[in-house]
Amino acid sequence: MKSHNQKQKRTQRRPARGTKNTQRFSLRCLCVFATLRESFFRLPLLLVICFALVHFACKMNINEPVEAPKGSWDASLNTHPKGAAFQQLLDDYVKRGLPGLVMFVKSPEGMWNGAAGYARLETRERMTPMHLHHAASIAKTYTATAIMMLVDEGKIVVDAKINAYLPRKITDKIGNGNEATVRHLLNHTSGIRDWQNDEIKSEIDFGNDPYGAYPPERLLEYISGKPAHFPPGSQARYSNTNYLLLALIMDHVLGESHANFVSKRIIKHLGLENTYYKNEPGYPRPPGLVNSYEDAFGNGTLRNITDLAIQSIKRYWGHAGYIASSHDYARFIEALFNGELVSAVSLQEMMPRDGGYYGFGLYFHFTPYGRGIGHNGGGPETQTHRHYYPDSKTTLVLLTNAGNQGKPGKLFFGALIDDAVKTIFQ
Amino acid sequence: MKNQYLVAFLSMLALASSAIAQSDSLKTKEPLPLVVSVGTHTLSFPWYNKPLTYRYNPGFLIGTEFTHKKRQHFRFYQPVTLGFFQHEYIESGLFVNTDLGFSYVTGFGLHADFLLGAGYMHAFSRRKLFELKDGEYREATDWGRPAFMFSLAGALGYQFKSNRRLSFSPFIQYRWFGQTPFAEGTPVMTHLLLTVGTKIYFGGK
Repeated sequence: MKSHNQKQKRTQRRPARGTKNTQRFSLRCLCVFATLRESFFRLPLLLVICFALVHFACKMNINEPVEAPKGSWDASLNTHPKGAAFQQLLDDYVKRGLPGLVMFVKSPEGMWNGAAGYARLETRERMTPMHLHHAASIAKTYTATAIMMLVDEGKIVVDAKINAYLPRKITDKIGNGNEATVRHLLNHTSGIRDWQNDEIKSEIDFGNDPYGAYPPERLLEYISGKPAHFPPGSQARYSNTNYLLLALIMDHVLGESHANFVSKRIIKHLGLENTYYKNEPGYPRPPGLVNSYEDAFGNGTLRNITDLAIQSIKRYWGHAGYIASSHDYARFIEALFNGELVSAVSLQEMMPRDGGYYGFGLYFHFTPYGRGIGHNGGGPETQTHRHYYPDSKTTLVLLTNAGNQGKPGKLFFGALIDDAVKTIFQ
Repeated sequence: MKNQYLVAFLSMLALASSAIAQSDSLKTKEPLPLVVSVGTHTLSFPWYNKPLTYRYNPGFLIGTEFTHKKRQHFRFYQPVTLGFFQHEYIESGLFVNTDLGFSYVTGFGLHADFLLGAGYMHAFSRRKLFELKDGEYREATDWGRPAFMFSLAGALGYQFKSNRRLSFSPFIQYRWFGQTPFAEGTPVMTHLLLTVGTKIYFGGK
């Protein structure tokens, strides 16, 4: 601390020279002030500089190398007379904001399988019909089909209570766990809470720990001890827990993972070489899997969430988690409706009812040209549409590698599906 | 929308400035402490602490505080803080925040604090961004997203009595803050910061 005399001498040494010197003196005071406060200003400034360096140097690199898709689509199979119109449709929607698109159409007029945009924006890898996409909730049709196959074999009764197949240590903890039947699970009338959409803790945990383990028991903990939404059968409300429980029912009835049954009796049986679920080599990142993008902030800007998408499907049991090509998605729905998987009685049981909400893994898609039967899927990583239109014997599969938030959501579900149907049937 | 946050932030600054002008710290020319802390960050609600245990996401706070009123066992004060955090998978953020804090001080130096605050955050994506230009997606520069933040914090600390030029008051602080807007479908994102730090008093205390 300088003494008063020293300060006085310093001031006296400085001659007064009018306005210019006053300005210089004021500037000097400011510098002194800044110097005196340097411990406060310099550290935050250093903090900001360090943060900027760290931030701009450390964006996550999500584009890990992935093998190319297996095989390529034989263009000679594209016999549909409206192929050029389908391609134009896809190109238009890519320009409007969907990063990549695949479309499969099969009708009495012919077949067409095409793509537009990019499977990977980072490397400008073009999308092809052989690229693989996350199914999201399209998976429920597979699970419902597997259940009905076991119904056909007499191993499951649709109107039996689920506690006939699941241990009480599971059903006692879930609201309606001892009241709901298999049918209630299949058609979303169980009232059981949705571990994913009703319980925000599930998304908090995943967002903070995507590489953690999420076995079915952990997912059911999110709804443990909480009341159901309504008595079974009184209403309908979509719940992913229903299909998780159906997968667990299959596990207990079969004495092994339901994925083994699906792999043997559906995937291999139908020759679906580009379908993956749990057991297939390469799962959950098989060759040809697209990058996933989401418009998280609703401002039309996409961010790559491929890593989160891959980790996310590891925690899906029965209600999502499939990965397949457009042709494989179409082949499955055709096989279902052709009676190659379940009996005619079971297939009829699966159909949605007029005025009803949901069949067994199937619901209606109403269009001005007739109604389709199938399922859509949507999540942060993907959007999917797979329906069979029985009046015209037409199968339509639409896939995009952008999630259902923001602009891509409005484009896919709000516009593309309608325009695709119009292009096919008009 | 952005103007609203600017107005809110400027209002908050104006309030903070007028409050600071009235503070005992400035009237008595008491040296302001330097407050630094480091800790871990997560996205969660204040009643759900488990995510703090999942992984370490760095958080760092630096600032000072102004004492408005001080009695033997009570202190009413106002911290001003600059901070940042980096969540591994979601976003990183730089923020400036001020609180109104109330501290109860025991006779032997232990103190418990409660703080209520507001501030401004600029958040950056942890992932590359792509924007649509002329019908194709191209990599975009991340200029960040502005957000308003509001916070609630509790702290426990100990004030060492010292006549030396430097004295310290270590503390542990649990801070919850909300960020709005965050994303479509998620208007508010909630954060937790658990930090340990110290107040450094210059010139003895």
